[in-house]
Amino acid sequence: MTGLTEFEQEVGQLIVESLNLTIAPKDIEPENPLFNEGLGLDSIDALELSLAISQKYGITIRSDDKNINQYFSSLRALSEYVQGKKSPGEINHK
Amino acid sequence: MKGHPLIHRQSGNSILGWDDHKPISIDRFLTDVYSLSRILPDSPRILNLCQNRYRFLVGFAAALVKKQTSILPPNKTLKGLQSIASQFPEIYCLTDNKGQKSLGVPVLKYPSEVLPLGKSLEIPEIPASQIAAIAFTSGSTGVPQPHFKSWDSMVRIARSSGHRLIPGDLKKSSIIATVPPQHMYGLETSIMLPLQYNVALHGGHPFFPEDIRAALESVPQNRILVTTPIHLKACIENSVKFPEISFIVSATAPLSRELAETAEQLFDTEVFEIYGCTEAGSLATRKTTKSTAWQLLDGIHLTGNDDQCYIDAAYLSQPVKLPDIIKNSQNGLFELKGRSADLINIGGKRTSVGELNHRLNEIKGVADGVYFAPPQNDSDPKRLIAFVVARDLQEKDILEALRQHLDPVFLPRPIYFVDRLPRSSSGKLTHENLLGIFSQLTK
Repeated sequence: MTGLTEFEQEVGQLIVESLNLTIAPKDIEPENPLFNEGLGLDSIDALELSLAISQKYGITIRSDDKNINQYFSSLRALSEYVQGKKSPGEINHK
Repeated sequence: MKGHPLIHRQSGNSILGWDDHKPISIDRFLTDVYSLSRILPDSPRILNLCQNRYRFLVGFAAALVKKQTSILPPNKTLKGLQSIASQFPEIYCLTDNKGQKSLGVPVLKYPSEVLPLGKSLEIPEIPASQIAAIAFTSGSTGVPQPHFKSWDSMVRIARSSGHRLIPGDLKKSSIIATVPPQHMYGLETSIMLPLQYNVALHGGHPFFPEDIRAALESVPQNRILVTTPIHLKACIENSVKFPEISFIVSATAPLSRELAETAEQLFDTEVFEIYGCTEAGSLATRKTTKSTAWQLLDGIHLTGNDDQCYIDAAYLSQPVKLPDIIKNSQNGLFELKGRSADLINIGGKRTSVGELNHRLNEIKGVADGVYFAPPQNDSDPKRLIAFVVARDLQEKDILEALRQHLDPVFLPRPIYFVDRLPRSSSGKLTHENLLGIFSQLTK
């Protein structure tokens, strides 16, 4: 059973692939923290993940954005952020 | 021994630095320092966790004025901070983070308003022998070892590294740093150089490539970027467009010549590296694309060879043994031949294999376990893996237990569960045998 939306699975897949994790994307708890507790990601992962997101979705991540902690807080929050920022031409991207 | 002034500026340069796009004058800085020092608790030690670099600097300077020592935490995990706090019973924490979790010690929030001072402001003189900071290295038992940094040693290192790296014609440069000021390298470059070498501080702590670009653009020329191989690599891969940079300084881990060359071409600048260690601070520099040899800073002496090398300098109370294997050319030049076998450095964070294995094997349910560094072919920061014998535990249980004590960069990824480790009859694990099961498992 999985509580993930299709897009959350896609972002989860990106996280797992870009960071070489052993967890299956469908097993990521969508509301759990990505960093420290939860998936246990760290600052090096943050840089690698930001690169993967910018390459796949064309989104540039900045930490002086006030919501940085919020949108990196969980898979759900990150997916919503990416969904909201994707360029319009990519909305139908599967 | 006398002392050194808190801040040293050539006449005509009245700018301390930049924060939030606005210049900060020396007068404003001194006002902030004296005003904060008046409300600091009476305690010998301060844990300064301010994230904004200017606020960290004000806290560091106010502590110096009050003869308090700044504690540089070895990692910023909650447990790590709590462990440091518990080692120093009279410590308090200065923070500019509204969400700071409790460390079990008194907390002083960085004040949002500055109290006006009704007197002229003089640059304070700090006694040379005063202990300005305590930095830590991790011992093999997991107990961090403190290293005491006198004000004299910090000032002298700032002056000699400034003299080496910053040419006289680079007047009014600003330092933008991606390393936290609570890290020894960050403290020496992004805090001490602005105090002692006539360069301006940038108040931010840019992290992602786009942050770094924005921070660089927020200050006028000349710009100096202080960073690490990991950040440099991320900037190159993101192909960010930087404004003109006078030069880049990298430290915490060796930078490959290839990465340095790419950075020099892409950002049309020069790349220098600093070599140092927590025990003795910055020691040597090199221009990565020109030389594999490191040149000692003025006043530093290197004796010995291979894994028995010692550093001495006027400001060190005794010679310091280096944690690396070194080919000493005896003329102020040396080459790094590798880390001493027991030492692990990931992303500028250091620990020992001994500590990692100790933490792994003390987990309830782990029958046997060992960390292993898989073979790598470049200077990429690669994760450590672990082989574990534990019948009733899952990966997440082990990670959860390790996370209590270790910085996340040292969590093994992945963990391989095995029936037994390839120990010899005497119980030893050789690199060769571990490599053998690694190749089997990753076939």
